[in-house]
Amino acid sequence: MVIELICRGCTMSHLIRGNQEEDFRWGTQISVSTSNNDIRYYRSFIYGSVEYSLYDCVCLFREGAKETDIGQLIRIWENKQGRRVKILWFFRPIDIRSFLRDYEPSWNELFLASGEGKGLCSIVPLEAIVGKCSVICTSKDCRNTLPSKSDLGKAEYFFSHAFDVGNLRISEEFPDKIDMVRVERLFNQEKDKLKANVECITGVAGGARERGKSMHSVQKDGQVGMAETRVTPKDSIVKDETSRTSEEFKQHRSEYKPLNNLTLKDSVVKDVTSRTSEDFKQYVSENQPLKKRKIQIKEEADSANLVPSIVEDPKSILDPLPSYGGKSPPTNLSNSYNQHQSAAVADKEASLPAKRTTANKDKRSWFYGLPWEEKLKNAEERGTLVYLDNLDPSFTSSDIQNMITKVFKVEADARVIPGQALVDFNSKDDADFVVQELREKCLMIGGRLQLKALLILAISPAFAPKKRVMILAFLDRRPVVATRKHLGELGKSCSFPGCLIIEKSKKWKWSEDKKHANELSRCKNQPKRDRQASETPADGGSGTSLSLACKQTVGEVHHKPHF
Amino acid sequence: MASAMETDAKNDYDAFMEKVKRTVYLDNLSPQVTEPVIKTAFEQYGNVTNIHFIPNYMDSYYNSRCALVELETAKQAANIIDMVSTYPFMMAAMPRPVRARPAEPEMFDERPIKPGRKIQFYWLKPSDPDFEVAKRIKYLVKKHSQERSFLLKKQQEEEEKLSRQQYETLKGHYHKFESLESVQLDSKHLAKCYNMNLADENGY
Repeated sequence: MVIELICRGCTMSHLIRGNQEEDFRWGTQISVSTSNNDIRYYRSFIYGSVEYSLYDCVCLFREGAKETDIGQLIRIWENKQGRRVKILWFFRPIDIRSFLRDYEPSWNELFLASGEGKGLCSIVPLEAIVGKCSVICTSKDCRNTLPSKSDLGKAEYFFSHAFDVGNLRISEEFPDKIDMVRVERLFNQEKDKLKANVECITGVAGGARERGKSMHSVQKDGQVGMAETRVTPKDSIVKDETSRTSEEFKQHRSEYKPLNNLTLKDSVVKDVTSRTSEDFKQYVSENQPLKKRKIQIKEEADSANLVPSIVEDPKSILDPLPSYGGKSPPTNLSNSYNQHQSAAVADKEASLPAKRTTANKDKRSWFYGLPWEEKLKNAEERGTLVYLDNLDPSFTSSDIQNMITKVFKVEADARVIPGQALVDFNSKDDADFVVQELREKCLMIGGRLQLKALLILAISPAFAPKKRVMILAFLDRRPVVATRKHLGELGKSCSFPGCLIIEKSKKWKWSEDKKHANELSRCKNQPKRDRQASETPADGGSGTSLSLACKQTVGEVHHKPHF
Repeated sequence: MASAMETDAKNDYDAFMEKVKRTVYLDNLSPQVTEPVIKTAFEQYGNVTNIHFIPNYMDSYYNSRCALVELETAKQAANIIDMVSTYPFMMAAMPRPVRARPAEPEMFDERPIKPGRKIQFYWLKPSDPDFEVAKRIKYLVKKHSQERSFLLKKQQEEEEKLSRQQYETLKGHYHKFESLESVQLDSKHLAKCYNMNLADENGY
C-alpha cells in the first residue's frame, strides 16, 4: 500500500510547519502499529529533496557537537509527538579511542555499534537529519558483499569492525542481529552494486571529485550556520549530477522497488535527483534557518518527554579519556567540514611520503625549478656538495648518479653542467670520502664504445668554503653596468646598419670574437701539452693508446659550449 | 618487459632529440634579460614554448647569461638563428648583440639517457703505468679550468671597460645634441631681437 501523504504535522509547532511542508514527503508506509493506531511506520521519506530509506546512513546534527554523528536509519515512524527515526550509531575512532587497543584506524574509518547497552541506538526527531552519508562495509564477513574499488573511492567512510557497547571491545566478527535488525541489512547490499554500475554508466564522478566540489561549496556558503554547512556538501553532489532527469530517476527507483527494504545505504546515487544549480541555490537559501529549526525541535522534543538523545550525546559515556594510541585521525574536530577534509587529505598524504617524493622527481623536467637551487644552497651550507670535472659531456644526470652509487656505494643527487657535474651527497662524510678517494686515486670512465676509447675522469673536488661564495654570488648577481641599463630601456629589436648603435655593437662582437679566439688558441695548444704529459711515462703500448684517448677527451671537453 | 622499457627509453630519447632540434641556444645575454623579454623578442619569428636559463654556477663573476629557447618547430628555430646571426639582435641591452646557435644535446642538464649505452669505469691502481698519465691529465684539467676562469674574468673586465666607454660616448653625444638644441633656441631668440625671419631662409 503506497500512501503518499503530505505530513500534517499535527503535533508540530506551527512555526516549523510553514517551512516543512514543501520539502517533506513520506514514502512507502509499511504498517500501522497494532496496539496504537497513531503510530505509522514508513520505509522511506523525502526530506529536503533527498530521499531517505531504511538502512541509509545519515549524518545527524547534535547541539554543541563539532562533527556530525553518523548512523543508520533502522526505523522510521510518525506518532503524536512527531516524526521519529531510530538510529543505529556509528562511532568515529575518536569516540572510542580508549578502547581501540592496538588497532590503528584509518582517518575515515567508522565502527558499527553492536551488542547491548547505552549508546547503541537512539530515537531522534527526524528533523535532526542533516544529510546522507556514504558509508561502506569492507568487512570480509561472508554475509557482506565486498565493495568495488570505485565504490570505495566514492565512499566517505567505511567500516570493517563492530564496537560492542556492552563489553567495550572492537571485533571483526559481526553478531547476527544488532538491536533486532539482521546484520545483512546493515552490510553492503547487492543493490548497491547494481547502483554502482548505473553510476558508472551515467558518468557520475569519483568520490574524490565530489568531495572536492563539496568542499568548494562549503567555502562558498562559509558564513551560514554549522548545521547548514553540513547539509551543503552532501547536496552539492546532487548539483553535480544533473545528468539524469528526475523522471528517469524515479523510474530507476521503481525498478528497484522490490529490493527497497533491503537497502543498507543508497549513498550517492539516490542523490541524483537532478537539480539545476538555481534550484540548488534556492534550496540553500530555503534551508538557511535549519539550525534554528533544529533547536525548536529540540525544545519540542524535550517538552514531549521523548528521548532527547540528540542533545544528550549518546556517546558521551565513551568519550572523555584522552589517551589515544592509534594513528591520529583528524583530531582537531574542526568546525567546518572544509577543515576536516583538508586534515584528512593531509593525513593521507603523510601516509604516502614515498610516493610523493617520486612524483616530485618526475615533475622535475629539464627546466630548473627552484627546488634544485634551494637544494644546492642547502648542500652548500652543509658541505655536501661536490664538483666533478672532466666528465664526458654526453653524460646525463642519471648516468652520474648511477656511477656514484656503483663506485662509491652512496646515494647522491647529481646535476650535470656539460662536462661537469654538481653532486649533492646525503651527508658530509659521504662527500668527504668521495673527494678523498678521487684525490688519491684515479677513476677511469670508459663508455661509449669499448675500453679502448677510454675517457679519463679527473676530478677536482669542490672546496666547500670557496663554493659557498660562488653559489651565493650566483644567486645574488652583481649590479649591471650603467650603459646597459640605460640603453636597455630603448628596447629589443634588430638594429640595422645606419643606426648609431651598430658601431658599438660591432665593438661588442669584436670583444666576443676575441674571447672566442682565446678559447680556440687554448684548444690548439692542447695536444702539445698532452704530449708533454704523456711522453714521460709512456713506456707501454697501452700507455700510448690511453694518452691518445686522453687527447681526444681533453680536446672535446674544451670545445664544449662555453658558459 | 625489458624490451618495452627499452622502447620507452628510445621513444623518450627520440622525443628529446626532436626537442633539441627545435631549440635555440642564446649566448651573450644581458643579465637583465628575463623570460618574458625573450618571449616577446622571439614571438615575432615563432612561438616560444619553453625558455630555460642555463645557470652559471661556477663562474659567477661573469654575468653574461645563456638560455635555451624551445620553439614550436625546427624551422622557426633555424629562422631565428639565421636572423640573429645576420643582424645584430639586441635584447634588453642595447649595444650587446645576442648570439644564437643550434642547441646541442649536451646543453640540456636534464636529458634522457641515450638508449643502449653503458658506462664502464674502473679505478687505476698506482702500480698501473697509466696512473702517472692520469695524474698529469688531472693536473691539466685543473690548470685549464683555472685558465678558463681567468680568461672569463678578463673578458668581464673588458666588457665593463667597453660599456663604460660607450656610456661616456653616449653622454658626450647627449651633450652635443643638447648644446645644438640650445644654440637653435638662441638663434631663434636672436632672430627675434634683430627682427629677422629665419623660417624664410632656413625652412624652419
